[in-house]
Amino acid sequence: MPEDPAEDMRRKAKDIERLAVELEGEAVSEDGAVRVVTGAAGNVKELDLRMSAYQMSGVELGELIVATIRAADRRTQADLAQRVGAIMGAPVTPDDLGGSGLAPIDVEEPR
Amino acid sequence: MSDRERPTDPEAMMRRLEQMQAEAEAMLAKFNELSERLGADAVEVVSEDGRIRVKLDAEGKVAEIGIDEYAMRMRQSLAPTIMALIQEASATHALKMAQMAQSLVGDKIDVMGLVNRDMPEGLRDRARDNLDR
Repeated sequence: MPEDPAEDMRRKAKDIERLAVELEGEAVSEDGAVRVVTGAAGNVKELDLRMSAYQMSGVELGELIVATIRAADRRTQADLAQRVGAIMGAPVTPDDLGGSGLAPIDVEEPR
Repeated sequence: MSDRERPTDPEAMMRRLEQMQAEAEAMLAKFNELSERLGADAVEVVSEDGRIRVKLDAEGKVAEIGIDEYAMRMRQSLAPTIMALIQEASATHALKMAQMAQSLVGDKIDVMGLVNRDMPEGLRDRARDNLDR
């Protein structure tokens, strides 16, 4: 006997809602100076700076933090799309969820 | 289901599509005008001492972080200050977007009320100050 479709949809919506609140993704800059954790909404949840971060110039560090935030956001959005796809039983890309976040940039990939 | 609810006549469907397109275009034009007027792509916040600034892009994502050399010596407070500025900038952006949405939907939905309810008071006040600048 198949499950009630409405009930099935409600459960899926609830699972996605929980993902939106709980999901996070991390990126660390190649030199390990900057670590960032972002949430599903693109919010920055954590920002850690290691000692080596203070050896840089302010301009360099600012750019590295932005790049690391973008990397974490890309990862979180890709993860979100994949998990939403799994819940819905259909492939989902970050674009389907309202944009892929930020445009890819040419910096070192996070570890 | 009546014909009025679901037109089967191709010409009627075409007219309906054209009308929907015209409505969407009018909405987009209004959004662009508002976006220009409110400067939605220019949210930038600066720390109290003026040494750290965070700028967002039009989507509300962090686009630039400026740290001056003196601030680089404030090791312990650097990350928390940047985090607080990102939060303040995002709140400012959210308020700006809500203002735009409110002017688009008119009084049908209380968008500003929703945002005001969900945003911590202190943060909301700072975001409002940023908008008024």
